[in-house]
Amino acid sequence: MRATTDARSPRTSLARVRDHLLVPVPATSLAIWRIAFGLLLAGNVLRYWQAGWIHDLFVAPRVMFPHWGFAWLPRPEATGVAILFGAVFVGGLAIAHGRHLRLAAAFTFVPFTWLELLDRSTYLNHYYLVSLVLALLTVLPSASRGEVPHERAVPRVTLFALRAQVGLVYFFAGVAKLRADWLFEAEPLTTWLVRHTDAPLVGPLLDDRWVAFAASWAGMLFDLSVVFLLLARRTRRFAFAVVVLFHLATAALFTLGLFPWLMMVNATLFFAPHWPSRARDTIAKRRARASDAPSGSDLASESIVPSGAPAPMGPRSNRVRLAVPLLGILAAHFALQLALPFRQHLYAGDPLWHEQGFRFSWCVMLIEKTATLDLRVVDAEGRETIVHPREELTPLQLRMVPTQPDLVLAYAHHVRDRFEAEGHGEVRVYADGFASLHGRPRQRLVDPNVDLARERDGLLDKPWIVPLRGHEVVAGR
Amino acid sequence: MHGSTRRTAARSTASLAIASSVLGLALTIGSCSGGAEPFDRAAMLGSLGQTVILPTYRDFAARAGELEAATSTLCGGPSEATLASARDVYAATREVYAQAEAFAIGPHTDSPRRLSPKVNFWPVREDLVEEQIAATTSIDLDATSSSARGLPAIGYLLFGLDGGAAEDAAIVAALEGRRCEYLRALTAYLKARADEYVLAWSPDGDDFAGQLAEGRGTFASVQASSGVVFEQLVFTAENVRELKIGKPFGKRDGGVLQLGEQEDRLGGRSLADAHANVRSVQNVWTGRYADVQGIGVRDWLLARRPALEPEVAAAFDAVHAAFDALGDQTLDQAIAEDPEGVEAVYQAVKDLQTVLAVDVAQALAVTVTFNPTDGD
Repeated sequence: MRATTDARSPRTSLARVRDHLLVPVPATSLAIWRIAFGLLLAGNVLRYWQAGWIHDLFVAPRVMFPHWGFAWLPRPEATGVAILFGAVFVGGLAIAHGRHLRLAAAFTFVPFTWLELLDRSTYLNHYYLVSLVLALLTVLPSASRGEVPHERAVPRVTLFALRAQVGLVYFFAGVAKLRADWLFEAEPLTTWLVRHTDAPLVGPLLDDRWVAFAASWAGMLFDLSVVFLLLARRTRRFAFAVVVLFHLATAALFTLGLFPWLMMVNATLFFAPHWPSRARDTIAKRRARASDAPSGSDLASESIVPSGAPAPMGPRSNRVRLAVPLLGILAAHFALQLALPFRQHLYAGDPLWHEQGFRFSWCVMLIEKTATLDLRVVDAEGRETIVHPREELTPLQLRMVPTQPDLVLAYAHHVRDRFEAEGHGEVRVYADGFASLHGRPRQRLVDPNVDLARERDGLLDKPWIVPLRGHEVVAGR
Repeated sequence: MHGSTRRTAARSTASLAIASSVLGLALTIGSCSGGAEPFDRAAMLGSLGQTVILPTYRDFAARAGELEAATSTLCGGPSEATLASARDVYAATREVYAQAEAFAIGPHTDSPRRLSPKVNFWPVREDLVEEQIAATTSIDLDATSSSARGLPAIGYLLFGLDGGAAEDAAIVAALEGRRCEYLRALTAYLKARADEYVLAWSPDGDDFAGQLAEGRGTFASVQASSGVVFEQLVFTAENVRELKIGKPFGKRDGGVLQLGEQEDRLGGRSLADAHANVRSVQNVWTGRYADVQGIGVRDWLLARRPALEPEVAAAFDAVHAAFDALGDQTLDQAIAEDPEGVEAVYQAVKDLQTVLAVDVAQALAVTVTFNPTDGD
C-alpha cells in the first residue's frame, strides 16, 4: 500500500510554489515596462554621447580602476568604447521592440556590464540594477502565446523575479538609511538641500533643518514601505503617485540621471499584469457607454487561465524540467542579493567612512564626503616624489579616488607600477590626505605611514583605513 | 475575511492619506514659519564681481597701459633708467595680474576669448621669441606661439638676454630695431587683452559678472556659479603649492630641482607672484579689494559654520608669515639659501588648501566637482 502524499511536506510545498510561479499571466504590463526600459537604455546612450561623457569617462582617462576581480577585463580603445555604447543603444531598442527578448537582453547585458566594470569611480547603483535586470531578462521566460486569443503570456515567475529585484532595491535602500547620520543628523540631506536655497518657491525652506529631517525620515519610510504599498491592491495607486512625486522631487533636486525615471518605470511592474488591457477596456467601455455599444472583456485576476485550471505553459513535464534549473538560478541569485547588502557590516567601523562592502548593497545617496590626496613615492634610494592625482585623473576620478579607500589603494598601485616601469626600482607609496564625512572635522582616511605599494586589494578588512574619530556631526550648525 | 481585508486596506489608505496630509501641513507651516533667510549667494557673487573681479581687471588694464607707455619710452630712449622704470611697471603689472588668479574663469579659460594663453603662458620659450625677432615678416601676435607672447615674453626682453646673465647695459644696447618693435607689439597686445578682460566682465561687454551673479549664460545656476568660484579658490591654492612652488622645488621629481619651471624666473617674481596668487584667494574670501569691502566667501561660511572661520583666517596668516619670512628673495635664491623656508611656504599653502577643500567645502555644501555626471 502506497502512502498518501502529505500536503505539508517540503517537497510538496516546493512543488506548489513551483507550480504557482509557472502560472501564466498576461504579458501586457511587462510589454509596456519592457518598451520603456529599453527606450530608457537607448536614450541614456544618446545622453552620454550628447554630454561628451563617452569620451570623458571611458576614452580620456589615463588610468581606470576596474572592479575587484575584473582587472582581467580588456579596456577598449575609443573605437571599442563606441562599439560597446552602440551595442547598448541597439540592444535597448531591441528590448523595446521585444522580439527575441532574451537574446536582446543578453546582447545588451554584455557591453553594458563591461563598461560598468571598467572603472569603480563611475559606479552607480542604478546601473548595477540595470545589469541585474538585463541578466534576469536573459534567463527568465519571455512572452509566448497564451490561452486567450491575442493575449501573450509569461509565467508568473518572470513578473515575480523582476518585482523582487526592484523591491530589494527599495527595501535595502531603506534599511541602509537606518543609521544615526541619516535619522538623527539628517545627513547628508542637510548638506545637499541647502545647495538649492535659491530655487523658486521652496528654496528658502530648504535651509531649515526640520525640512532635512522630514525629508530624511520620509525617504526612509518611503523606501521601506513602498514595495508593500505597491503590492497591495488597495494602496497601489496611492503608492504609485508617491513614487512619481518622490522621484520627480529627487530628479529636480539632485543630479541622478537615469535613476528616477528608471524607478518610476520599474514601479509599473507592481501593477496587475493586465493593467494595460484593463485600461484599454475601461476606455472602450466609456466609449461604448457613450455610443451604447457592448464593451470588451474585464480581466479580474492576474492569471490568464480560469481559476483552478492547470497552468497551461506547455506540456507539464517540459515545464517542470525547464523550471527546475531556472528556479535554482533564481534562488541562488536572490540569496546572493539578500546577502550582499549585509556584508558591509562584517567590517569594523562605520561603513559610511570606510565604504567597504558599500557597492552592490543599495546604499543610495548616503554619503557626502570631501577629501584631499597626495601620494608620496619613495624610491629605493630614498628620493621622495609627491604625486598629485590631478596630474592624471579625470575630474570624476579626482572627486571619487580621495574619498574611497579602495580607490586610493588602486591608484597607489597604479603609481607604483608606473614608477617601477620608469626605472625607479622598487618604490614605497604613502597616502597623504584628509577627509571629512557629513561635516565632521577633517581627519586622516588612510594611515600615512603604511606603504600601500605592499598592501593587497581584496575583500578582507583594510587595517590601514584610519577609523572614524568620534561621532559628532557639525554640518550646517 | 474578505470584509476584514477590505477594512484593513481601507484603514491603510486612510492612514496614508492622514500621514501625507500631516506632512503637507507641516511643509505649509514650515514655509510660513519665516525662519532666518538663507545666505544670499547671488548677492555675494554680484559683490565679488563689482568689488573684486572688475576692479582687479581694471587695475590690470591700467598697469598694462602704463607698461605699454614705459616700453615706448624705453624704446624711444633706451637707458638703464628707462629700463629700470619699465621693469618696475612690469612688476606692478604682474602683481595685479597675479591677484586675478582666484577668478581665472570665464573669459580667461573659455573660448572664444580664452585669454589665458595670450597673457601668461609660462615658462617663456626664449628661442621662439628670438625667432620672431629675427623674422622678416610683419608681427602678428594672434598667430604667434603662446610661448613667445604675453607677460613672460615681455619679461624675457626686459630681463633675459643671455639667459638672464647679461648686464643691464647689454640689454639696453640690444633694444633697437626689430627687438624694440617686438617689445612694443607685445605690450600693445597685452594692453588690448587686458581691456578685453574688462570688457568681458563688465555689463557693457559680455557681462560675465552678471552671468556669475545670476547663474546664467556660462553658469547654469547660482549654485553652479558659487561652486565654480569656490573651486577656483581651491584650485589656485593647489596650483601655487604644487606647480609654482613644488615643481621648481623638486617635489614632483624626486628632489631634483626644476628651476626652469618657474612662472617668472627672469623677472625674479615667481615667489612674489605666488604670494599674490594667495592674496587673490584671500580677496575673494574676504570680498575685499583695494580697501573696498564687499561680500566674500567668508561671509557665506560665517552664515553656515562660523566656528570654522578662525581656522581659515589662521591658515591665511600662516601662509603670509611663511612668504614674508623669505623676504625679497627670488625663488632661486630661496631654494638655494633657505630651503626650509620654501618648505614652510609649501606646507602652509597645503594646509590652506586642505582646510578649504575638505572642511569649508563641507560647510558650504560645495562638492568640489568638475563634471556633472550622474550620482546616486
